[in-house]
Amino acid sequence: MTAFEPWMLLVVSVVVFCIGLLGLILRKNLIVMLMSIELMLNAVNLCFVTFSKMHQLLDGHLTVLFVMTVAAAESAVGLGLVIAMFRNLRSVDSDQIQLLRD
Amino acid sequence: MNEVIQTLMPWLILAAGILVTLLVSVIRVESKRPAQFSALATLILTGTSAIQTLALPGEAVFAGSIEISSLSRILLALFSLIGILFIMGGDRYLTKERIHLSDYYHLLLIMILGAGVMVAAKDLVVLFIALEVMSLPAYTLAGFRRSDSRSNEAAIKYFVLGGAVGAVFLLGAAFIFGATGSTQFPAIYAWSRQPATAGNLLFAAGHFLVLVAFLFKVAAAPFHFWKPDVYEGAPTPVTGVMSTLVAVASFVTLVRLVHLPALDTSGWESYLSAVKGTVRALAVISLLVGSLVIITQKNLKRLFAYSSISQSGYLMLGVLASLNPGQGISQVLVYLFGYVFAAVGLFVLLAQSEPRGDTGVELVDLTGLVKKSPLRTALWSVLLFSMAGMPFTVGFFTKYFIFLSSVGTGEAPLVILAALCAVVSAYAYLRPIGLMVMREADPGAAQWSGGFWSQFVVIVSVILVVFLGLMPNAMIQYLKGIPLIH
Repeated sequence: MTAFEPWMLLVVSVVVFCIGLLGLILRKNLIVMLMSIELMLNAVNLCFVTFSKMHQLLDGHLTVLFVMTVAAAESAVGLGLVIAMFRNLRSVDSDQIQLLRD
Repeated sequence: MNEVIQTLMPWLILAAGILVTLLVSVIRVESKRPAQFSALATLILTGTSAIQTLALPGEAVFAGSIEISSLSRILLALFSLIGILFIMGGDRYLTKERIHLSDYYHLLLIMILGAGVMVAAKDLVVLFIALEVMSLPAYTLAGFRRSDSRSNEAAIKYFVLGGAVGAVFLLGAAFIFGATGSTQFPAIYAWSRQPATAGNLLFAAGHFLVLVAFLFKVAAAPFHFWKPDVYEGAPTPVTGVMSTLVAVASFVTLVRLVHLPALDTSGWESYLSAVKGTVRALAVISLLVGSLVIITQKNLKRLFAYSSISQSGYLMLGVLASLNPGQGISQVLVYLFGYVFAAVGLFVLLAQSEPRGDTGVELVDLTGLVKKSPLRTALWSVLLFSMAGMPFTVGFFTKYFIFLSSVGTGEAPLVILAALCAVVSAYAYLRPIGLMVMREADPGAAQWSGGFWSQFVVIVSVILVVFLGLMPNAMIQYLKGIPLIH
């Protein structure tokens, strides 16, 4: 069994970030897209903490607190917008929104 | 401590004003006038305070994470001016669209605070928070016409893109933190001056992600696809704020982020040439997309969206010039200021059209305007001339200045391309004038009505455009003296 190394966590965080990005691009449900954004932000949190550990600094840990705050605010606004859309279109499907185009 | 408060005064006034405006709008829900006056008073105080302290030396506060300098002060003053003009000019539009709520005003103020902190931030994490403080109210304001599905769509598109961009920026910041051990600009700059660090891959990846995030924000092609949709769907004054406030703040931040590492240090040559090549390519693509697609647009807001994409192209020329030794960012600032003064007037004019239900304002709505309203036609013409870069308007000098700085750094072929693009896109700006003057009014054309304050804002904007077009030297000289902060 190999010893635990910080770079493994970096790989995990990049993989999770890519899953979030793919979810954002591929999924059509807006709620799932919001979740994907959260996934991306949390992947970055993991990344910050790992680098913090590698550098023996506290900065990364502090950053995570700020990112979590911003993520909470962002999902609040996002859900509000999705509700506003649901009221008009009775759907949370991103395929339904194509009124604006060239 | 006292000195910190003094240095931060304009920002503190704005922050306090947001709380007062929020409080006022909660206490008097049925009337939006108190919130409106509170917002106006806040912005006037903020702007005056920023201008008064303009000559003071730059100072870093909060352990060096924010630097209050002449750059951030003049930009905060500009943002306050934009806010004042759009509050005065957008009033009637909001009433006509039945979305005149007092929440509009504190959201607008929060956007201005975010933009003001973003241009002063010297730490990637503070920058991220400021970016989100600016963006979150912007998503809400874009969806402010709650009962209109097009406004919902614009808000959702803006939000999903903005959320992803924020995460990408943050991943880049994490990589930079991993490579350099700090998120502060001066520490990163000092790190990049060490001989062993040149071309560090982790740093390069982080820098790339951070820049991509801001290229999306400024909508440089090929990162522009969201912009026309968001512009079209958002309420017109909000589109105006996005096109001026958000664009200026994002572009200045983009320039500062490009200069994050010490690119002139030996060892970074290949990295510098890669950055230059990318900026050059982005400039070409933005100019071509912006000026070719704009010709085909019928909806005026989409037309201005493509216009701002081509503005990103011209600004990329300025960024490219700033990458050469001894060049500052004055050409970028001069261009942004000139663009803002014309764009404020244009969007307020656009907001003067009577709502027409499903479709937005289209070119056909302008037909025969000269008979209905000669003054409005004249105002439209001056502002469109400035956008097209005609002489005797500020648009001419700002373009000329940016071309001059590019020629001076050996980018002559790019300048020729940019000048050709300017000629091509001039057609798109002059055609509306032709429709207003030469064509009989279309039976379906919208009615236009401004109201005193809206017309006042447009006239202020036209006076600025013409005055700075005839006497640009003072502005250029002043902005030349502003250093890029590291």
